[in-house]
Amino acid sequence: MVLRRIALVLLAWALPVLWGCAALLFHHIAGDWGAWHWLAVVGWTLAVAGVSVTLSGRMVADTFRRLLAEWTDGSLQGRRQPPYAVAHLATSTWGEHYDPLTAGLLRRSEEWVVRLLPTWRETFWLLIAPVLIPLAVVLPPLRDLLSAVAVRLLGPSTADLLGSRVESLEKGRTDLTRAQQTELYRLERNLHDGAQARLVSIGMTLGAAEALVDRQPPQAKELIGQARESSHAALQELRELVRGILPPVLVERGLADAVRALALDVPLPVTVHGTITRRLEAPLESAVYFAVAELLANAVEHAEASGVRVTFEQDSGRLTVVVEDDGRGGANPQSGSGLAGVEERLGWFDGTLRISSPRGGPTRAVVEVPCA
Amino acid sequence: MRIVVAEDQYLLREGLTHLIRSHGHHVVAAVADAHSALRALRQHRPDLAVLDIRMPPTHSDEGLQLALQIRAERPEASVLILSQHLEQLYARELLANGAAGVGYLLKDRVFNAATFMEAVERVAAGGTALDPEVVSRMMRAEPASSLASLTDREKDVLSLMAEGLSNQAIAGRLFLSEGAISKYTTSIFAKLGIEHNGAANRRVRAVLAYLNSPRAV
Repeated sequence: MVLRRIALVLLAWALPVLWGCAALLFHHIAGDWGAWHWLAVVGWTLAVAGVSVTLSGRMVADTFRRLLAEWTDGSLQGRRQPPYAVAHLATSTWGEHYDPLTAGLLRRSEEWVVRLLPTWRETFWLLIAPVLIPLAVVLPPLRDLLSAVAVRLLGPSTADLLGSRVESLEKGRTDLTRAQQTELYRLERNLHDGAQARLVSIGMTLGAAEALVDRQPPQAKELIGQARESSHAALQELRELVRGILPPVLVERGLADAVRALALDVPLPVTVHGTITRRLEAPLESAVYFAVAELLANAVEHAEASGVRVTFEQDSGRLTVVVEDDGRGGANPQSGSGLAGVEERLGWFDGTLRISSPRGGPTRAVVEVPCA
Repeated sequence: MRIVVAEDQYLLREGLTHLIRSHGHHVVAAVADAHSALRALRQHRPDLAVLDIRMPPTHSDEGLQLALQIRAERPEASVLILSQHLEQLYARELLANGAAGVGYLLKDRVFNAATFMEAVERVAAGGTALDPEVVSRMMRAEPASSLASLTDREKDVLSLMAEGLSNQAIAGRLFLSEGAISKYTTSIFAKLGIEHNGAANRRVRAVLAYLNSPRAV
């Protein structure tokens, strides 16, 4: 703590001390330039300040971000977008007109620009930090002010936040399109091999029965019976398929009852608590439903649980579903299970899945989605 | 027997009406939505209402709500719900206030006219008809250990009891004597610790209460 504060003050004063030394040095080694002397000292110092800020500003600002974490609760974190649209233009757009070697050099130089150059906000921070930091270190009441200023100047800008958002939305869109396509393939395949094939066989069987009905009525009757059995099987397959796409009870009753219906089909005692007062948007409802279905399936298949508890909690802007079992734990969304898919699907709606599942259990999964 | 049919799909409604009439019963009204169905049920007070679960206006679970409403108004009213898909949840809601005169079947069951009409007549007479599919889902949802003490044959008998069949009907299905079935049921109730009481529809509730009730296993 104390060391960190000392480091903060030292860091805040590093650049100004450097500039002061540069000014003193110049004052001593330059001869007497008469009336121009002080003007020259000021000019030289500004030049040193300019170069030093240009070359080290970004690194110093990043060090500040790390050191200030304790007072700002992580609000300085967040990926920063490459600044300087102009530098970017210069190297990427114009770069296309150069030969590969020059274009490569320009790209490298852009990377360096991004790594070194501070933004205007960061520069401004470097200028006020020498005053603000020591004051805040000495006077604790000033720390709120300091953290507010730091968040303004060092935190991600609106453009940074929007940039990250666009990036994650772009990724979400790609995932979504891919998942949709996979789902369509699955449906096509399922219909082709299932219900469609059954209907063909029903048609054929009925055709054969028609041909036999006058001459050999008992055989015809048997074939008709077979056709009836086939139609039953086709319907059964279609029902399974529909249940996988969109469970009818979800459409008819909404999320809470759909989960209750699901709970009854699970070979474990599952208790469902809480209510959902407002119906969710259909796509969101179905994402949460399939998340809970996956979690319940995990509890049955992997956790060796003897009971599961599902709890709904809805407040103004958020629905939380907690699925807890008393099993042996060890569930991990990263291990390529269905949980990764659940996480991805929830992500499309800015929803999250948090799992705590220590070895030996129990497992507690929290699904959280925004709902208007 | 006087029957009201409510089903929004024209072909199925006509098919049902035709099937019921051909078995010598009287279809007093065949309607296509929940509002007309409620009106018809209040007006005709039929021996049985055959209701599609999903009907206009909202195409959700009108048929089920209608059944619950009409049974709340007239507890002795018999209803048979038909659906494209089955839910244990719905079955349990339907049976919550007694299994007498309640049926819940897949629409496919209409394909087999004889069994279907048997179920229709059973429900109209105050019995129960629970789809074998719902029953098998209930059995599947049981932790393996809870039915482990039963023999395969006893499980078959248990399923048929849950469907609402009488001992006589179970005997017919399994090609056994009524006496043999009676022995099986006594043995099942003893093994599972279910209170034994005679009537087939009360037996359904007892079995359902056993299946899927939280128990130490």
